[in-house]
Amino acid sequence: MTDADDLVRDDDLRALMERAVIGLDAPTERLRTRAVAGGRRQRRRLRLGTGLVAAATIAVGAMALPQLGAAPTTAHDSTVDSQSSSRGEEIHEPDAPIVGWWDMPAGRMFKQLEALLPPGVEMTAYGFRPESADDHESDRGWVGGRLTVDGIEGTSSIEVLLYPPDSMQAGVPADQPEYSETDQPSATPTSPGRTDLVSCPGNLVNPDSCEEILEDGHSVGRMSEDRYGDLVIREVSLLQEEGMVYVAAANSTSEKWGRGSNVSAAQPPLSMEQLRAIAEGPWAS
Amino acid sequence: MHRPSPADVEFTEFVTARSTQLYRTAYLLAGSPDRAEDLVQTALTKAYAAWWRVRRADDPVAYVHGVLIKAFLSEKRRRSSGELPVATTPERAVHPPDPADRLALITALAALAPVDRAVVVLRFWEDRSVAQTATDLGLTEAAVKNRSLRALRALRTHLAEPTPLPNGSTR
Repeated sequence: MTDADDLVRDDDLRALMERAVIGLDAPTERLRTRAVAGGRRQRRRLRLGTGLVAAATIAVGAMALPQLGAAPTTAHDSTVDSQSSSRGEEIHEPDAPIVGWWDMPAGRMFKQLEALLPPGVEMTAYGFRPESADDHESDRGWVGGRLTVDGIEGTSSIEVLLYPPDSMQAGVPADQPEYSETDQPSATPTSPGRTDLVSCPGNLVNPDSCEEILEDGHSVGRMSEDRYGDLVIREVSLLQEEGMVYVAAANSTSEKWGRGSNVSAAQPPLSMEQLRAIAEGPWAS
Repeated sequence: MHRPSPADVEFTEFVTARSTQLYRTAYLLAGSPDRAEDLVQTALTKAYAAWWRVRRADDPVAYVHGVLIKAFLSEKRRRSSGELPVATTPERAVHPPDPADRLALITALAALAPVDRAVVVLRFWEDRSVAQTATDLGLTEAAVKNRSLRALRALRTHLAEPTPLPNGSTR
């Protein structure tokens, strides 16, 4: 028995921790959706990065071999190294070329979004300043920030996400095999696909309102609203090219919206039609 | 209609089953719901990106918790600001049975060094052994014991003090 154990027993730390976190529930679906979209982006970057490193390594090795008489590192070596496993190992994320419009850097998205905002509405992005937007390349496919309306700060916030095609095709393994051939595919339809993201209610859980955006009789998007007490979240999802643009605004300045978020205005400053106009912007061009 | 891949089904089941526990761990580490969600998001994104590796781990749950801890420590290394997490978004609490307990504990945890906080959370929330905690954090077992002892003494001191409330009063 250590002194530390005595302290824990005395203070009943574990019980205190349990009392402190009880009632805190994770926003599971939001976490899952974003993890899938972000994870697939990371895989593409890893593949591209591994490919580029391998190609460069082979090229350097081919040049160095005659001069140094040493064995070059091969593409196989670098792949094996990148896949070495240990508990909780950080996954290397090399910078990689943009592979589609959905990988647009956040700085460029910010400028695009600024240009699409209605007159009198300005945005302060999370994580970088407007003057450094051109250099903000690390985040891709997502931008968010607080809105200033007619000079009044702290009224609301907005975010835009660009969905890559493979994040909307839940049934299509986007990458190399991740499971053995003996695994039996499950028919459990738990991952939302393209249709679920643009239909009503689709993958939404009890939205307060939802309206599909139709084109030639087919749903190509949806506009939905959710209320948590006085918090109002408006969302527009719209298919563009093979991907999707998601625009949302809320009358809250919290970076994450949900039950208990602060409410900073009576309504989001942007109407559903204004959000739709932003979603219809030239994101895919 | 596409059929979900087995990996996607597994991942969805994992998130459904484990995200709240991850979120609560992250909350104890980070001290605010927003930052807890960011940490869990980071961990799950990395887990999805390398799901083949997660599913082959001896303990996939522990593996993802390890990613979460590393994300926390990595974030702490990047940020040098002393945080006041409770004052930032106290309104995000979802009707806890005892908000005073939460406030007191989060304030006390926030006063610890990030590695000490991770030791406390791993040892006394995740119920990891000294050896497991040492492995997860890349410390020696002696260092884990020392940090644990120091952290618990500090917690005890903090928890015995009146907790300042955001409006400046004390309880």
